[in-house]
Amino acid sequence: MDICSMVAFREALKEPATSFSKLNIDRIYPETIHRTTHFAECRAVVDSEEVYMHVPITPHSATLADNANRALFDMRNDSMTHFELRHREMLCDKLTGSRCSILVERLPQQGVPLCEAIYSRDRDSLIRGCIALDRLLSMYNISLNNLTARSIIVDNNGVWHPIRQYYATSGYGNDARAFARLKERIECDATHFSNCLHDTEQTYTTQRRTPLADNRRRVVTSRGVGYEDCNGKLVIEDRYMWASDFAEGRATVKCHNNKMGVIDKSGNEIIPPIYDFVEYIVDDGSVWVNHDGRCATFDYMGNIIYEWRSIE
Amino acid sequence: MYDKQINHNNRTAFIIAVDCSTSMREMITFNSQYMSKADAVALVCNYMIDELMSRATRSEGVRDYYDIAVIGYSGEGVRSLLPSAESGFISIRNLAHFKPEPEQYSYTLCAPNTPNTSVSITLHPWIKATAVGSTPMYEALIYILEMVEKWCNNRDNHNSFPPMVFNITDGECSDGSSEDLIREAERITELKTTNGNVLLMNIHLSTYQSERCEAMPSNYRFTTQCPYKSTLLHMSSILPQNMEPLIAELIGSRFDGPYRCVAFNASMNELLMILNIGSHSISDQ
Repeated sequence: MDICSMVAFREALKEPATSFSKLNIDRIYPETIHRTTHFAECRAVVDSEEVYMHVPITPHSATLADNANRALFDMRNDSMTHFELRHREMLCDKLTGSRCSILVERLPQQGVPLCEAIYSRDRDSLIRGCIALDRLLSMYNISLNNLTARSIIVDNNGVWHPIRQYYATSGYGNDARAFARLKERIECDATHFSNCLHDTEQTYTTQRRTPLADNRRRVVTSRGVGYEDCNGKLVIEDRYMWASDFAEGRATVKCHNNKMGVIDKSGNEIIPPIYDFVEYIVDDGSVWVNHDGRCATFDYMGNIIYEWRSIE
Repeated sequence: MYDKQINHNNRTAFIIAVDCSTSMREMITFNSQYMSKADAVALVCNYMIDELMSRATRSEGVRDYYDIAVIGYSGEGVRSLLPSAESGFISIRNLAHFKPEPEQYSYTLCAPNTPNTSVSITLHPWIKATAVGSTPMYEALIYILEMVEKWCNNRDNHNSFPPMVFNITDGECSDGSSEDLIREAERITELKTTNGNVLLMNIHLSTYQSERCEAMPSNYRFTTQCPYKSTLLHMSSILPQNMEPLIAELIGSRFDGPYRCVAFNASMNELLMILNIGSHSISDQ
């Protein structure tokens, strides 16, 4: 199997029609291009189905992909994401015309990564999903060797679908520690909904928290949305009607008068919440602002970089 | 262990990995000047490289004492920030061939109970500040792992002082979980020469002056509820015993070692001191 590089992978994804021989790619999510230890990956829509594409980038990748393909070949189960090795699928060097094989994993139609599900799903249902996957691996005598909260999708029925299965090997048992760690995390962080108050009561008496992002966690109370730090201390008052997660030190907020702005991690207003619509673009740190039919662009520190102009 | 003298037969390696994400545009005050964190880190790194360069310079020229790599990770991916070091490392002697034009850097030194003093130093702008996009720290660790693995496997380096990796960041990793980061960091710190394992030091930069710096915490007594701090802590090496006296310079004498090579909420001055500990921990001929 030829190996690729991150640069070549990014280039190939810019021109999917010419870079892939058989895959019919409808959409690519460039923000999901990541590198793992042995593969580069990207989420995409292929033939109207959500998939992960994994491209080998180290000399070990070929062995891993072959082993995984062999180990998972006979395993046909609704819980397992369809995992396929496509030979010589992607053009990885335009000059020499060399092509590399890629792994395509079809994702479940609906679901969230376990690292998010821990904060939104019932603890008992998560534990049941964990036990069911363990049993399934035991039945097929397989170890996935890559069970982390990011590499498991939990569907709406609570079924666990492992992804990034390229470390799979024949023989059951290698995942015991990973299962124990995941159970421990679920026990520690997930909510036991049967102990919760009725929805109507909950609105007035309890708070809802989201996972930490950039060391800040959104807290939704009866008054509004604010932010806690990792110690649970409210660092930004719950005075907003809506607020985004923090990313690279900035979050977009909307006040109760429907006006939007951008704040920093201390709650300082970088763009004061006086505009109709505000969009913070993480990639270049700019903020696009729309107000009264006109727009302007501000930089990361809130200085105007493109003056107010009419929206055409 | 960790006692090998540096000479041209037994070189060592320094890797500085710099977070170049958007959040590094946050403005701070460094040496009484208002500048972005990215600019301040570039200044500190340039100072450090100048320091290493001058330590390797003798009357006949620059001796081949160190391999240096400065890696930037940002929305544009992971790449070398040094001139002519596309593959990562460049020896200090080769780097001297690409010495940029020196620049004057002036600032006001403020010390308590003394009048402010204007200071002017000459620095070579080896690296330029950038701050774009997300924080692919996981990708950077994998990049570093490959570089360091290759360096340690080179027969010429088997008996050398092990490489030191400084990871300078101000925010949360955007491309990997805690487990991913800790696993890759462990793989880096498991690499070794006959003189010891690779040392990985993580430095988290502060934005707000009110935040207290926690540098080189005790491995046993430091506890945190913050998952981000906990991840950085577990990613970091244990400071070798023979280097412990050096941290007195940074945090004063303490008797609760061993220490973790990590600093939280470090200011730029503290970053400079930590990098200096790295360069002073080795002795050269």
